[in-house]
Amino acid sequence: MDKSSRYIIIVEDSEADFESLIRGFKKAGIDNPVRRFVSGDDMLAFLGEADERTADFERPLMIFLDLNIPDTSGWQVLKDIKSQQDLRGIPIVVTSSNEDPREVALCYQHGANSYLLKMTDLATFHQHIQQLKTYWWETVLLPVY
Amino acid sequence: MDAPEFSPPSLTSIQPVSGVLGILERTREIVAADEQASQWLGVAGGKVLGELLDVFLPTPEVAALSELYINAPEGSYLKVQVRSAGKVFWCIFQGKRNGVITLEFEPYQSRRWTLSGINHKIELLAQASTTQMLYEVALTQFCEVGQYQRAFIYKLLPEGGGQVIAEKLTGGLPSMLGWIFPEDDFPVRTRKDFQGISFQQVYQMHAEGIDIEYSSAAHEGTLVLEEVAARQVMPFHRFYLQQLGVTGASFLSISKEGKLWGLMVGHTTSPAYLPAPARNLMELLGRHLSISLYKYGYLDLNQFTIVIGRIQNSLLAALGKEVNLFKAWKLTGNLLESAFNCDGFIMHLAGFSKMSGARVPESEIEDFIQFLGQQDYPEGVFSTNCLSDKYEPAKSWLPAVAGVMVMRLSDNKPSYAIWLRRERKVVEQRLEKGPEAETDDVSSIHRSSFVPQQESVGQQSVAWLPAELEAAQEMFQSLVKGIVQTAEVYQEQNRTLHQLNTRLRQTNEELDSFAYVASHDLREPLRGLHHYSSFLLEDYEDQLDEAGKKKLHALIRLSKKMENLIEGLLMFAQVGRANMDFVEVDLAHAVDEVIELYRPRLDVESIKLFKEGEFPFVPCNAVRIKEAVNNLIGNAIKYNDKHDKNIWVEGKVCKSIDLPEEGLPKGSYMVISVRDNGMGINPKHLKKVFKIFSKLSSSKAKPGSGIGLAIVKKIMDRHNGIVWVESEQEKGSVFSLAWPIEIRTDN
Repeated sequence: MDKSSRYIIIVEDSEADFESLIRGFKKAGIDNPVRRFVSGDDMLAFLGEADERTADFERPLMIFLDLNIPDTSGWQVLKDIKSQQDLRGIPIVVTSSNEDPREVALCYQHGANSYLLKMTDLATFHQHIQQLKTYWWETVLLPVY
Repeated sequence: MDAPEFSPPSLTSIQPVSGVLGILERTREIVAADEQASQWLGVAGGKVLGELLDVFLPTPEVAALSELYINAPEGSYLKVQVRSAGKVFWCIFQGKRNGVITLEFEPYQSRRWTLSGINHKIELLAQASTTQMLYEVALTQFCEVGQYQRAFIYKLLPEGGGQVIAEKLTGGLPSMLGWIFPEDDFPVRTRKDFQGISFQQVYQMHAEGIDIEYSSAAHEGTLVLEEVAARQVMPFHRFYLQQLGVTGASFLSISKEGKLWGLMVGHTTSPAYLPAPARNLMELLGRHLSISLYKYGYLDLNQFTIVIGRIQNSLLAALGKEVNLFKAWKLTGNLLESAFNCDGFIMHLAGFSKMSGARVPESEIEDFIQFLGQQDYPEGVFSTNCLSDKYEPAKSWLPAVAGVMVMRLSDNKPSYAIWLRRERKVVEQRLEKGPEAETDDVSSIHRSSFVPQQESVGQQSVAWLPAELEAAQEMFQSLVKGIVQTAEVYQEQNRTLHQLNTRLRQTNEELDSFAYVASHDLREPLRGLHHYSSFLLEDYEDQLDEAGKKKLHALIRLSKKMENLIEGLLMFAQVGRANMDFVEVDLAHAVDEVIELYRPRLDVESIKLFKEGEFPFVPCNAVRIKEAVNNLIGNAIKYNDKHDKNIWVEGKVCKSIDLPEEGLPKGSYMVISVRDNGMGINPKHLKKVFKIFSKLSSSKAKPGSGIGLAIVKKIMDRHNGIVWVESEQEKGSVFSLAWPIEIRTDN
């Protein structure tokens, strides 16, 4: 299946941040279907229990995960997904406004595949998304299920 | 069986060194005489009893003698020549009882026993500055007059018995220094027998005594035989001498404050006997020694006062430096320990013990302290010379610890100064009760050999003298009552201060984490504000007029500015929150790294930067110090409107007193200064520059968050250091950082 036709999961509770991300996608030419969740629990519920997942369960191309989300924290969700054998392969891009190197390190330690910094400067942010698209969509190969 | 060895000496005979006559005062008729009297009076086989003294002595000498016993005090003597034999004697008036005069005749010796040297000797005694020196001088005099081979001072111990505490050997006899004679060898009750006697001698251990004969006009008890110099000594003395291999001996009583204090003893291996003039010298020596000891009693007390004063000073000095009373006590530990004669010392301060010398096992300290807590401390002091009597576990500490004296150091916490004394030294060569001895002149004595006798020391230490207890109580009064309790009040205040500081630190930490969390949470809605403004501009550009667009742009600009402020707050909070690792850092390298960051800009703007002074290896947090220097260099560049911009980065190591802030801990500090020739700062704003978000009017045109110097200050706070600025408007500013690199805790 073509990368551009597979769906993407975005976990983001902030409308503004979600919209700036979507705008960035549009500008960069990412037109994959998007499934949005405002909490990690919602997404985990969607993904369901490991033993309930069927072989033809469609996994997302990528997950954009906001760290600062209600209920279960972002990196707990991250840990949860990365601990499941059949989900571990899904690339997860953490989105956060936190520049603290310890926070960044922690995310990578728990299996994050990228750390995208949210910022006020939209032009720069959208430029970053453009580069992200070049890398994940055009440069590297991703697992196919 | 009662020990007969202490029965009074025989008063029926005298030692064969002199002659004794008893004459009626009125008629000078001889009514008592020793068995040998006819010989030394030159009337071999002739009759002495019943004769008049005038028969044997020339008339002028009889007259002089009468004068002597009528007017002179007992013990006075004069030189007389016996008429028939031409022999010369010293005739001593020894006393008068029931009208009978007791006269003792000693062979005259040509050796002169003058008083010529005595003044000098007394002076020597008076000059001795310690008791040990006093003993030394006294023994030297004693030996010189008596020609003894061994002389020693035997000091009575308060608990009974006595010990040889000083000695002088001139050859031929072994040392007895340190010997202890137990109580039952010299019972307290016999001491009174020595009280009145100042000097007595044993001429020759084995010499037969000479009996006294009486006429019908007199009887035993008529003569004042107990005053006669050649009287027999107590049998137990003779027994001791025999055991010690001594032939001749003498005993000089020494008293202190009216009580028998001890004896000065002289020993020889040949017969020895000092005549009247020499005995007088000895008695004089004994009296002066007694007086000196009395004086030393006060001297010793004085010395205690001096010692207490010294401890007091040390404690005060330590308290001046230390907030902690216990640390102050610790610093005075050595002085306290040496205040008393002891074998070990424990300073126990609220759960912490420091021991030196003789030890109580570590594991048993806690229980012992608990025991001490249950004791009474009259005047602050508790003492015992037999701890095991009062505290059973102390039995296992013998012989290292047998007696303790304890001074309470605090009312609130179990804290004590504890002086330890070991078990009294076992005297191996002491008299042991043996099997019934054979009958000879010391027959009644049940001691026959010198063998070790351990059990008799009775788990006791040498007793704590009343003077020592008094000194300890005095110490308690002046140290604990005086200083410590005041200090404890201070300590309480310090504790409050400490609590306040802790609370302040906690508050600061809370503020830091508050700032961190707040700035994080503030950012999101702010970003939203900004984003929606951008989206509005983007999506509705066609429908907005210029004024509307301008306002939206202002909204975007302001939200960006706020973003910057929050960014700064976040950084500031991070400095407070971050863990600070301090390691040895090559400052020269660290500073070079910072300068390299600015290199492109320095080159482009042709700014000259000079690095001067010393940048050694010092402990610090490299990342933060670089951040601080970075900030200062950045400011130096930013706030400089001169055409030729110069910046000097200077490093030096200096002392706390060279820094512009008072009350810093003493020691070495690393100072880094960044100097510029820029616009300078108005003096009235100097204090403001380190406050967070403070920006000065002069910098209006300059971009900046107003957070840089606040972060620098915070970095220095985390280094226990300081930051300060000196500035002159239009000439430039110097920002300096200083942090301790070596703090000395001593004085």
